[in-house]
Amino acid sequence: MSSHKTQTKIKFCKKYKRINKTIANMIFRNTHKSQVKMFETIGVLIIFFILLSIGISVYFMLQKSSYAKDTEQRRQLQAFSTVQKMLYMPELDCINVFGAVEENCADKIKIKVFNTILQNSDTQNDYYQTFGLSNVTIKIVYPTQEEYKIYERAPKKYVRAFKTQSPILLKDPKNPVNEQHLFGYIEITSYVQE
Amino acid sequence: MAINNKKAFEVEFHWIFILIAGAAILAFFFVMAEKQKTISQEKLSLELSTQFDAAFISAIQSKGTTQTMPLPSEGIEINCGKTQLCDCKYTVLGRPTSFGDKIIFAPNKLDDYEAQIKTFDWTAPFRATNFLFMTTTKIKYVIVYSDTDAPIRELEIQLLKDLPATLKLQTTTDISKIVYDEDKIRLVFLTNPDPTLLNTILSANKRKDINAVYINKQNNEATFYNKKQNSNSFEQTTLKFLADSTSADSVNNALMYATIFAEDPHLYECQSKEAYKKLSYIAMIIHERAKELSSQMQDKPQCATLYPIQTGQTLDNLKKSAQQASNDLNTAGNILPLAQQLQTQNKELLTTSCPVIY
Repeated sequence: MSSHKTQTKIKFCKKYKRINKTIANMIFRNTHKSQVKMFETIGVLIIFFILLSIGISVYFMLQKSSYAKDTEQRRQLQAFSTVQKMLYMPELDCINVFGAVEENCADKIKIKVFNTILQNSDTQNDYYQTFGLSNVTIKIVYPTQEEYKIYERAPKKYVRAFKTQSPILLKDPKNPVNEQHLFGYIEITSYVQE
Repeated sequence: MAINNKKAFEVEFHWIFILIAGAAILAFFFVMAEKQKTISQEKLSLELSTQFDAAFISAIQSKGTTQTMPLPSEGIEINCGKTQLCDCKYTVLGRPTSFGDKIIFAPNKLDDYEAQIKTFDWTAPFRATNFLFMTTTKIKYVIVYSDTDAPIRELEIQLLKDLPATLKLQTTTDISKIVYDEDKIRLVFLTNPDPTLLNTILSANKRKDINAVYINKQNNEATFYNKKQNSNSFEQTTLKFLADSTSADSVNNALMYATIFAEDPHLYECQSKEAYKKLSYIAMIIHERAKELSSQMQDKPQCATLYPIQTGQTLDNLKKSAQQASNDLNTAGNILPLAQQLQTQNKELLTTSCPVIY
């Protein structure tokens, strides 16, 4: 009787152990599955963010290059504007005997004088608003060959330089009756700093 | 039971996770959109500023012309700062751009779809610089004059001739006949206005933006009347301008006309000082040019004597007076006799067949 009881107990224990194992297995397998699922989702998110950041960095790089292009265009426009300004500046303009301004013309003596007064640093600072960071040169090509460096303010370090040239007539006003005109051009080099 | 609890937790966590991840993604895109908005706004304002600058430069070169220029819907703000320093700039879409070497006279805000631009060259007696006058058709200008006073009547006729034809303008001798049909009205008095009458106008038109200027051509001064903040009265500022009231016309009326377009006396003062500074530089160049010419006139003794003795001294004094006026507008009157003198000397050079000085 006692041995039968013992056998039944052993059987029950074995059965109970088996059930326990099955439950434990079930729980463990479920936890493992959800963990894998979560890692999967996190992985997807990480990849999504990585792709997004790559896309964004490419986009911003393109934006930066288009901004740089705009700046370049702006500088070119500025250089061109400076040439335009120079053609009408009262500091350089030609006046005929009737007191009228001659278009696209610079007075040779005024060029020399302007060049001299711009050697003064205060005057150069005042004209910074007009010329900015640039070098302004007037070159006479016919009948003589002369060069006047009017304004020089090139930065020590610069990223880019733009050169703009425009033809100009130069008048030597010494003889008002037989006015002599010379041919030349204005050259403006504008600098872009970092 | 345990399995059910775990599953419930898993589902809840799943939703929390989705919420956090979703919020992060949304926040990310919001930040991106905001950044993009800032960048595109910055780009647009930069582009507009550059375009305006280029437009101003080309406008300033074509002297004596009237042009229209399209404006952004937000308009342009113009000011020279609140301090005594002259930091004049125009603001387009929140981006301030310095006037640079341009001399601009304009109201504090231009908020129409287009601006009216008039270019005027300033001569004293030679061309010193070009001025840019700006306004819009949303601002009405009312010239109040007296038909019994001949010089004032003449000035009124001159103003009608020189001001842009596109300007919204009314001329009257009777202040009670002013039609307040625009939100912004600038009264231009050619006769001395009664301050109490001005305050009455202001009280009667509380919703209108009214300011005034009194041009006293006899004394070469302008009084700016601007509305005081939180008050129904005007604040007065009197400034000197340079103009030639004689028939010599050695100095043109550009600086006088500028008082009509500049609403802020500080802007007027700053821009006038800039103009005088330019004049001093041009006088210096013309002086040096005259010296150079005289040294090359050995074969023409009648010319050689005219340059250094007469014009040299006048030009030097003109340069000094202009320099002084660029610091203090009250001294601007000293330029006028020198300009007249120089004009006579230039005519003399012309009659003796010598190269003119300007």
